[in-house]
Amino acid sequence: MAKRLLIVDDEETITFSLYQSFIHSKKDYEVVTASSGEEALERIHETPFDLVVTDIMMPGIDGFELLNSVKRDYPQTDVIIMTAYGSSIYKEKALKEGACDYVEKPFEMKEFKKLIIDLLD
Amino acid sequence: MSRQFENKKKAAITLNKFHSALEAGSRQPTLPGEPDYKYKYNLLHKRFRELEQVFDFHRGIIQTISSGIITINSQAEITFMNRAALNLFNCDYMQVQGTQIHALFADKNEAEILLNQILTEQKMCESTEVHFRSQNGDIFPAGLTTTLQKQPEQKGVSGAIFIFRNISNITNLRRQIERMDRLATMGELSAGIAHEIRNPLAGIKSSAQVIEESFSPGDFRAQLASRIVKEIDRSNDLLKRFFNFARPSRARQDFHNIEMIIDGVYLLMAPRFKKKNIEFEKKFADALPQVYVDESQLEQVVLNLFLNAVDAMPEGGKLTVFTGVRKTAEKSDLHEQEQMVFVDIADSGNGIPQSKLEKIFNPFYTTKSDGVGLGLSISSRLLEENGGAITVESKLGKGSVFTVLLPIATKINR
Repeated sequence: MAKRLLIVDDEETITFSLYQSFIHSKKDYEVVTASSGEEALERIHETPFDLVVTDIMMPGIDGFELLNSVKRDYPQTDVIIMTAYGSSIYKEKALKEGACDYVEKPFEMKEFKKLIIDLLD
Repeated sequence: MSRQFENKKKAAITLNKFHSALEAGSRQPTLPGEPDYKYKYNLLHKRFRELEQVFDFHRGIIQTISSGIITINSQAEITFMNRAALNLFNCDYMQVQGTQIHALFADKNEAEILLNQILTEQKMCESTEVHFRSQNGDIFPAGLTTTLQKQPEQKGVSGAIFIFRNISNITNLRRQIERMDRLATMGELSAGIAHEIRNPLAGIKSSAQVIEESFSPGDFRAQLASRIVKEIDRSNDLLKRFFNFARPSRARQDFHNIEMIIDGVYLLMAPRFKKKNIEFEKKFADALPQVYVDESQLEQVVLNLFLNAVDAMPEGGKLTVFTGVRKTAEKSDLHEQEQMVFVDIADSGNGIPQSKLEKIFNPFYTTKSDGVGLGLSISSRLLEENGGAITVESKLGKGSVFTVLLPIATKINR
């Protein structure tokens, strides 16, 4: 069964470019995108994911709330936090609350993809 | 007022001489009625002595009080200045006696308005901030309170008393607080802007990289996409610099010798000093206590100040660094300690005009054609993070002195 990846960001250019990058790669992943924390939780409740990549600052349910929900209800799901705030405080908080990694925007697509692939494989 | 006392004192002395003469005469045979005369004389003499004591007492208060006192007559001419006033204005009483008080103000128009209010409109000042100019040209802010003098049964004002204190320290503290507020606001603003710009940058970059990946490396479309990525990285680097300013990383304070930090930065700058014909001198105090700071942040501050000093002396000059321990005004939010280590960095450049002095710590304020205007504001912010502070004094044509205050390493932070 193909590994499932959920990309969550209210910046649609980011979700779209990441989505395009994965569906054109040789890896057979099932990639789903969501533009808010609420939408992400709906998709997760429908079918759980292996990995969730989420932005922090989103209207409504933010990345940290999503992280906490996922870690509480789906402890097997890995979560990567990404943010445009380059502050070490967010990094510490994300890792402390159970994220497996933290990525600053703008990221290097190659490195980011490698990180995701390593986690999924 | 003092002249009246002086006259009374002279009268007392004259009376004393008269008494001595009388005493000498008392060896003569006594005349009828003499005891009554002597009793009255002694009473009068006693009163004069008491008056003299009262005079000395009041003169003592007026002359030793730390506030400056100046009295003027109805023509705004100076009739008295106490010792504190003479010291503050760095002048001799004989120079200013009888001259118009306007000359002591930094701004003649301000003086004109104020004196008109006092002498014509009979309004008094209560802790009003004014700017005085001392005889050597230094302008200092003062908190001024005035009292009107009126003669009984006379219309109008016969004069006024000016009581004031130099409030440079308070003004400097207030400026520092305002500056910190501005920097904090600026910081929050920059952080918000940085976030808003980084998000679209991230979108552009990841999209460009997807395009780049979908073509072979030699394809011109891949090369164009690669250029987009490079330009995004360049913009992001600039944002990072602003972001560091907005939220500098937390200070990792430890105890350090400030001389070693200064020497380290000097080694870095020595070739530039030589090239720009700048003589470097250090006057470090003996047995200076260690400071409790983030070493790399302090290096950045010293480097910024050295670079500014070089720019301030395009024709060459002298850069002197003094260190020592200075008593701060008092324990406050700005100065956690009553004593701090100071580093004075003095250049012999052109100096900074008064009108620009207040702005130089503002973010993005620059006088250099190629400057970003963040050096001093970053330095100020970094020092704030380290529990220190920065101030500046400058004289046109003579140079500027930047003073960095740093917390002393104590047993507590050890």
